Amino acid sequence: MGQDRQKGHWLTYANAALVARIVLGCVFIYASLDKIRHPELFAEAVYNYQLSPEVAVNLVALWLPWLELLSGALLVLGVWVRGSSLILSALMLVFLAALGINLARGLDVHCGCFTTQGSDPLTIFTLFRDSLFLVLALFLFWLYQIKRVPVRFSLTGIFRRN
Amino acid sequence: MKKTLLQALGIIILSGTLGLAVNGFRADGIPWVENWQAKVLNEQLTGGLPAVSLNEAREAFEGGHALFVDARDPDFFNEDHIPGAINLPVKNFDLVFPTLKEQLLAAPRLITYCDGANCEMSVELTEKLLFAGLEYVEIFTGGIQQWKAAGQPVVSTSN
Repeated sequence: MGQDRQKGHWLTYANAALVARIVLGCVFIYASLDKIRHPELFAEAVYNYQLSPEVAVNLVALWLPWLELLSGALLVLGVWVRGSSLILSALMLVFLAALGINLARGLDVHCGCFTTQGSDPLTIFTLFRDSLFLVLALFLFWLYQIKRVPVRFSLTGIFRRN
Repeated sequence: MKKTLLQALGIIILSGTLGLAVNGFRADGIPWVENWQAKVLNEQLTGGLPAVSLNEAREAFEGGHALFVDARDPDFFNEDHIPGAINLPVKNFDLVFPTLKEQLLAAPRLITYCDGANCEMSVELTEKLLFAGLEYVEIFTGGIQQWKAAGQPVVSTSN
């Protein structure tokens, strides 16, 4: 990397951003689907975390999966990438904090990260995995917001060309 | 940075609107606010099976998107039951279930009930229905007693 000016080299910031965008976007789209399908079960997962005020549990459960889906989809499509990578970075920070607090409390709760049912236990591995997603989200935000890397294969770009 | 924050705000508002709108249209949507402590207590009463409170039962009744299933014996059902409810006495489950199977499968959501918090027929019926492969079955633990005490309508069937 750092050789964006070197024509023909494949390892550029723009390409790295493209790969990171698609990987992170797909992860969040996938993570949102089961939660959208089973709002009641996801609300229970939110309640079990014991972090949200009771009055906000269902609203969080109704809103969060759509925030993941929309941010993930926009990232994949290359639209509003700065806003969506900012949101995903913030989301991962919140998730990590929630996971960390419950691990420290020793509460036996399900992660509820990718599935609302079955076994999705909260472990140190979950923290490690989510830390990787956080790094990826921050990396994307840094590339698009600070380095001002061009957005490759974006939906708006395709429309603009036609 | 201002543009980025505006984008983020747009995504937050759009996703919130989408989430609430889709929830409003789906049959198994959830209320915006719920008494979770009561709900968890209710579920402990039913041994972990999903339960609904009086308010939720009332909303489902008024919205018309749930089929109420009375687990009591026909005599009690005929005396008074929730309007629109069907009778599937848990005692004769194996006999009656096949005749109601189509109707039960067609319902987007089933709510079982019996007399009240002290009767176990609705819990037994729910276990049987879930075992038979039905998916969205919940128990109205307050039963017909709580329903009547709240002034909700009941009907009787004359033989």
